Amino acid sequence: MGEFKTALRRAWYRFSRNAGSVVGLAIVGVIVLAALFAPLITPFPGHAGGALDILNANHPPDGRNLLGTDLVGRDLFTRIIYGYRLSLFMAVVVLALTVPVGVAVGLAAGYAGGMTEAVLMRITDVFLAVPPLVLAMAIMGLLPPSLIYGMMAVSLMWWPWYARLAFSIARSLRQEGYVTAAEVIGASTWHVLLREILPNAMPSILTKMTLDVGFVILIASSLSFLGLGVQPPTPDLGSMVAEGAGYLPDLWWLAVCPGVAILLVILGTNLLGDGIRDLLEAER
Amino acid sequence: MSVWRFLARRLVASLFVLAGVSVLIFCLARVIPGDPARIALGPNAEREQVEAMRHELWLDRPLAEQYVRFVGGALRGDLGISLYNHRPVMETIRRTLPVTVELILAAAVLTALIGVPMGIVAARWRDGAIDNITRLISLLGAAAPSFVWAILLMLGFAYTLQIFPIAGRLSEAMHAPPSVTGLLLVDCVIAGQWAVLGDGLRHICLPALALSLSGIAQIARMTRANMVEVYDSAHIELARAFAFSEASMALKYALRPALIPTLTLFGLQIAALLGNAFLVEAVFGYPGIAQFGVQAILQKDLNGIVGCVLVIAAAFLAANVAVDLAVAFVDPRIRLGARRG
Repeated sequence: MGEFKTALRRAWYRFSRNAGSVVGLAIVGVIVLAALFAPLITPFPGHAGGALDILNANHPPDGRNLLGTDLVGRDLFTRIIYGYRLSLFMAVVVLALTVPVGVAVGLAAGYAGGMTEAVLMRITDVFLAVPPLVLAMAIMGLLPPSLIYGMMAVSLMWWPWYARLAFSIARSLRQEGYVTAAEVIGASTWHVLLREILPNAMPSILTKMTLDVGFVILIASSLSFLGLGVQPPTPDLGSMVAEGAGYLPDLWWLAVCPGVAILLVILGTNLLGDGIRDLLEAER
Repeated sequence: MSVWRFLARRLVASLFVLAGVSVLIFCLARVIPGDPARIALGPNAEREQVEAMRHELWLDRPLAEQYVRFVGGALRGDLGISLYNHRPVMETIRRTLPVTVELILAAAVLTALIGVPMGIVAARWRDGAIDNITRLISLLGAAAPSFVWAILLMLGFAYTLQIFPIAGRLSEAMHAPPSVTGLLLVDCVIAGQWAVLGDGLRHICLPALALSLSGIAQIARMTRANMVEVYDSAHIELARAFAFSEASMALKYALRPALIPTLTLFGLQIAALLGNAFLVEAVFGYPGIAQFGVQAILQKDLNGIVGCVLVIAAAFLAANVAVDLAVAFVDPRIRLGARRG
């Protein structure tokens, strides 16, 4: 236990030497907590849905409504916190779906080589040949707009990146002494893949995952900005910006506040991801 | 291996990938539930009308036959009729693609002209005030989707400061010169219409900047990191020992090796530019292929979606071959035969 404590303290020391990492951790921490406890901390939890409060419509930011109200009088601050909730949920689901698939494909291709490698990696190439946002948009265009399909579309374009990453690691480790040793004493393919190669790929995969949380939010909000994805009245940061863009410059807060909210969460995850990368690279 | 053989190999590989993309998007478009003919005609259409349209689109044939017909058409430059504007998809793409290409080229030029010098300056005065400012710009540039930057830039420079026009490609009063290349700015130069050129330039500034910000951020960081590494290497020390001037050392000896990874990153950036053009064109009402693509997607226009994805994938692959070539020219160490092809 004492050993673990020391290791933790050393990790925190390394992590906190970079002010940016700590700022990132703070931003992400506050946003995650706010999203988790949204019903408790938001001033108007009822405004997350399709509520109407016409008398208070189009209020600029003030003491009552920190970030103003929208066209039907809903509190923008409340809706942004609920928007964070949705974005983070999407990011977690997309990564949980795609990382295992991508890593499995990449490890299999990198370790097996030959025909397996050729087939799997050429399929990966095809997915990577279409710019990610365009592919996700096209898939979304063919599906009805909803949260589930939105996550499916983003997932379909996400796994190839992890396949690439796991592939390059598996291929470089294939010839390592300890892999050959495991093979020689008769370890099964599963053992070699899961117990010898995967642990060595984990730091890179984890680093990419933390950086990808922000990137998934970016892509998902871009899709919903174009009207592909979650539909109103569900609060979604991208569609809130799209709705507000038509009322520039008079009702500027409608587009600017959710826009800056997107910027903030991606900035936070990027800073945090950089910190975690430094940490994991130093450990090795 | 000569550069030409390398180029030929990359082209052939790209064609195979493009064929794969066509199978992928075609299958996606056909497998996904929902009848495109019914969607295009609306819920009130007669049953016979829907059947007739299905027949016209070959939707009543086996999937393999549909695909063969589709590829045959695509090879002749026929991508079918758009179910959204009822005109040949190819015609719309031919009209709108140059607009987007121009926007992306402008963004790429801005990325290179701002990003690379930012990286050089940051590396030269490492850990100084300038380095910290570029670090902050990079962080912010990469942290927001381009549609957020587009809206912030529009609010700041078009509405508040009124330096740039709000939307569109040209002012109402201006008339575009006859199309030669399809690129408006180039056509203006050819026709010698300098007033129109100025107006077009003013219109393209904000969209191109919004499009290029995340690229500028990444290129600047990459250039800085590589320059710092090169500055510590032996050949720079030698140049310093020979008392070469700072400028010639930076630009002649440090920049060139530092540019190689930057160029590779630039290739990846093209994918982001192509995707983000959809968002930026939507904000600025820019009449490019992205606007057609978004409309096609929103209207469930099967042929339009498939056509747009194919053309964009082809443009992306072509751009990547170009970047590979540029890398080969800059980097004498590249043994072309050893590269993935």
